[in-house]
Amino acid sequence: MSKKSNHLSGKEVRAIAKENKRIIKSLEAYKNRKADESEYLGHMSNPDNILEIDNLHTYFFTEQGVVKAVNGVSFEIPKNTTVGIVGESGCGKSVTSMSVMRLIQGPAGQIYSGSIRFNAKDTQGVSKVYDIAKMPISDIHKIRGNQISMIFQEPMTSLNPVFTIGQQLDEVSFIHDENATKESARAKSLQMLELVGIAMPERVYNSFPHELSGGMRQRVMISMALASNPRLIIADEPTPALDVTIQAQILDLLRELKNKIDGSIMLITHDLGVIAEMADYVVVMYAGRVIEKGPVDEIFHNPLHPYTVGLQKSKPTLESESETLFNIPGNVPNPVNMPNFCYFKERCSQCKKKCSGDYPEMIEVTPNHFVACHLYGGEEE
Amino acid sequence: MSEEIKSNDFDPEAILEVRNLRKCFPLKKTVTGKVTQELIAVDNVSFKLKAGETLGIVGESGCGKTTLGRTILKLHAATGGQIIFDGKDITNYNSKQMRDIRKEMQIIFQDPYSSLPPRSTVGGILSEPVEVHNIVPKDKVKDYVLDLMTKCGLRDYYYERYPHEFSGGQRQRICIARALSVKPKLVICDEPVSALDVSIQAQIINLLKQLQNELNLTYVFISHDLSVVKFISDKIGVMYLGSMVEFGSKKDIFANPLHPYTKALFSAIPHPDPKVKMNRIILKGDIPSPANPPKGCRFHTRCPNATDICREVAPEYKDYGNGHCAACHLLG
Repeated sequence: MSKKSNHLSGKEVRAIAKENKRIIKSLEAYKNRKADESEYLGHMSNPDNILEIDNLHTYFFTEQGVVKAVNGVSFEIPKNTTVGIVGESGCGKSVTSMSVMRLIQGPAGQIYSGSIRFNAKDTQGVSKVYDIAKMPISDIHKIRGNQISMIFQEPMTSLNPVFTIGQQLDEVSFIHDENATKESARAKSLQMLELVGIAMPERVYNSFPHELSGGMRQRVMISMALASNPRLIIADEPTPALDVTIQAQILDLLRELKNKIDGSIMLITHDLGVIAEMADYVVVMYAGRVIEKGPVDEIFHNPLHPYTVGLQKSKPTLESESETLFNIPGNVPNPVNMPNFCYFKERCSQCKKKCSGDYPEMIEVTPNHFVACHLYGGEEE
Repeated sequence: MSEEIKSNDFDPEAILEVRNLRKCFPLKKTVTGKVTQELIAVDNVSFKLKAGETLGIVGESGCGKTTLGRTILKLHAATGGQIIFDGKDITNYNSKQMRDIRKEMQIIFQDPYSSLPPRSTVGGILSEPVEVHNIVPKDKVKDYVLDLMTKCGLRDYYYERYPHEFSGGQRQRICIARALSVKPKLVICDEPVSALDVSIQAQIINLLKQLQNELNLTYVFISHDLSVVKFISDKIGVMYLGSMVEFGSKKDIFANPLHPYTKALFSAIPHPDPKVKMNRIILKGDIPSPANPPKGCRFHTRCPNATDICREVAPEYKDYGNGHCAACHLLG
């Protein structure tokens, strides 16, 4: 199954392509079907949660084989909390968020299995639980951009360069509110711009994206995400393109807004500092899997998984005085043909015999603090 | 604007000395070629650097840190001031004279994905500079390159491979090996780790530090990440809108930041500990455009303590003891 070299023979490539075509066809048909609402209604396991992701698998069917970008991810987002997702590039944190938004680029990328339950409110204010993973793509607009909205990674490229900020902001109101008129949309847009701390909303409303600085554009993106009164905001690396002083402004703004709109934030970042400051609950991902999750204090003061420990030690801080930085040797494994054992095994310094066995189960070490590592659980620690 | 003093009394200890360096880019020209508007990217920057030391340059995007690095290497021609490298004033060297100097000063670029030629092998990339500058005899080039690769943490069999086969961290190692292949004295690292993941970042920083100890290299380390700069540098320069607002030893700068911008910059870094509540100074507004910098002190538009004099007069860059320099009116 797992081969050392990446080379594939022509025969293998054709076999993979044929298999991919078959799977993609059935998944696409499922995605594009017409379905009654009852088909994708579900139940929350805890009514206080706004989002529950349960054993989500999102795969990319490529010519080299299946890339399991998200491989059995489960976590919850309770109401009024900020959940931070950390991990290095390629660990599947963005794909997780894209799956929630159903923005995975098809036909190669597909949600293969699992469920994403979202505690939604319909237009009458009745709460309903939708399973986003099972929704046909034609119904997704009930939620996307409306109840869940997203702040994208690069403010430079996520705004349309040929429309003014005002036109782009008004569009949100027109799409999600049937009774919106030109005036009401404009008033709402200006109000949103003011909310995110833009000093001259009138001027920004009439400007084009290229006339604004990075920080301003990110504010516009945030105001766009807020325009539909979302219950959940997904912020996918909202700050790395910005300078530190601007980053501080934006984080401050997000924290303030969370209280104002009474919603939850799913914050995706690779910066542990940002997580420590913003999040209430932290999910650490590695190579498509959740390896550790727990409350923020637990993760930072009592990290369990060797990867979490290494990640924290390898970040230089302003206080540290050591001569060399701790580093995790090696690289993230190749996402095609992942091994059956723990993905971190080759980079881990505390390997045991057991680690060559099956992938470790997620276990609860202390209340609400889970880890997937053979070092814990089973016998004595 | 102070008169440019061209003197020849160079500090023998300093490997690199920069005096009142200026770099302007023309923005608008008339038909006759006269410059009517210019962007001052680097304005009156001066510092000294001893051999074996690391100077960290921090600042936000657009503050001129990259331009400073490139001007020191003479990749951009300086508009004014002096660059003294290893006891020679290289400011007005022509390209032929520069060729000998080039092998003494090298640069590592930010983006390891676009700074390697996709069509040559790692071996080719690393041996070319060695051959051009005649670093070792022709028959020993391969051994030399293989040795260099081991030093930089690259395996022997990578010699025949192409850049696209490597991850970002490995590519950055190739870039480092390429810069070191000509045995330079000074290496300018232009954000070498900002495109990399945290765990890989630590590997590269350790490698840079280890190579510095082995080969007695001098680094100018440009980065926007203060914690990385603190880790690697001996001296730190903080830049804002083209000018150096504070310069000093690492200890002085971190223990006792003088300039309000430095203070704000330090407090803005998210701290990786949820229990630490930072006493944060949040700066209002954005960085002004360098094409149209504010009058007086350039920082006054965002400074929490700006007074009337700040809005009118540009502050002088003064030494406040122990080589700790800053430019601010409030320091008296």
